[in-house]
Amino acid sequence: MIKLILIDDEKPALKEFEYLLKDNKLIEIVGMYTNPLKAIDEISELKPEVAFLDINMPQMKGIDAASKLLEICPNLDIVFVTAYDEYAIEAFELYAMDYLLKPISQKRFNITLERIIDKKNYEKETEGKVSNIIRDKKLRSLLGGIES
Amino acid sequence: MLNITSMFLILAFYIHDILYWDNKISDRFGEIIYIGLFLVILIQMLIQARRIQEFHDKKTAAELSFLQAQIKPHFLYNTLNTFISISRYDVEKARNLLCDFSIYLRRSFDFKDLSQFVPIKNEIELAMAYTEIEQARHEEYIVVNFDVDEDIDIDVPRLVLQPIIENAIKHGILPKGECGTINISIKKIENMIIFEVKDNGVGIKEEKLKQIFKQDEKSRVGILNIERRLKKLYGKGLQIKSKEGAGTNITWRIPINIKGKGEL
Repeated sequence: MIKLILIDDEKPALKEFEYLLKDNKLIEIVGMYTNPLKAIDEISELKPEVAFLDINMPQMKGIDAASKLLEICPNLDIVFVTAYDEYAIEAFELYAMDYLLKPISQKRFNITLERIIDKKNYEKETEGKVSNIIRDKKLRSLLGGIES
Repeated sequence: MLNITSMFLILAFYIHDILYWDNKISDRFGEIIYIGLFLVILIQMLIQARRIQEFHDKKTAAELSFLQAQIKPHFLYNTLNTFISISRYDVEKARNLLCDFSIYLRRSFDFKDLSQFVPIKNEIELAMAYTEIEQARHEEYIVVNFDVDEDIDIDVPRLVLQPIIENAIKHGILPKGECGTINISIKKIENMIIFEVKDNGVGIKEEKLKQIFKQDEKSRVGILNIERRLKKLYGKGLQIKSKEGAGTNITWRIPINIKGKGEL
């Protein structure tokens, strides 16, 4: 199971993620936070692999929260979520895995989930297998070409 | 500068004219002096017309930036996201919120300019619809109480109450990270309507409070615009009292006898 945390200052938004994720057997929600500071406090214990993070929160800017989370958990994959597209470039500078716009459609959300699952599978497969990395990289670049 | 130059030219032409008719000088230049005068006056008129145009452009630009600030994409999309989420588990509530959202949109955007006055009940309706939406978005973080005298029926300048409540939520309650309360009271006292928006949020720092009407930052465009409009209409703007960590209290008053049908 891939461990995931959700951070959004609006509770209905968290519930919506929960709803969108409910049928997915590969992903487990280990924490939901309306306050990013609390998430930062608890992340070292939870050790999530993925975080969905709202960019626009009153207590702390999502971008700053992301830097803090990455400091504690350098391997964390972050999916930024926002209602309004203005920080995308800044987010990608922080190695964002994806960038979702609210309201989120199930279709678009599934693409994000596929990306997460692909990446995690890839990471597992390539642990200590150098030859596989090369093969996979070739395959990925091929796939990337098709996707784009 | 142009004014002085043109005055001087008119004077020069005038003197030349007198001298010409008195036969003190006799070049043919005098015959076209009236055309010259006419041209100078025409140029003056053009300059003045341009100035008036510029003034109106500036006024329109200030108004536009207020209205643009009113259209908050963050608010609109987050609100839609909230409705989608709530519709999964409480369809009735989602429906009611959509009705509130319609009121919000209608009362916020359905007009030509800011100089219009509206019945006070429209302003209250907008404020109530808006706070319903914010409460749905932030659930237990916001408590809102309205205390409104029932027998008030006057016209008031539009888009004053809701933007002030919005400020209280955004800059007062939400940064607190825990539940906050907003009390909105509209009372008739003698010949005045007294509006009060009181929150127990984070408050405003003293030095920031002093600057609040001075700086023309983008984020302040709302409160600054409201202050200017109220001052122009009634001679008195917003009274802001705030204590850091304790909350903010904003009051303003509108006299009843001024029906407010005039231009802003």
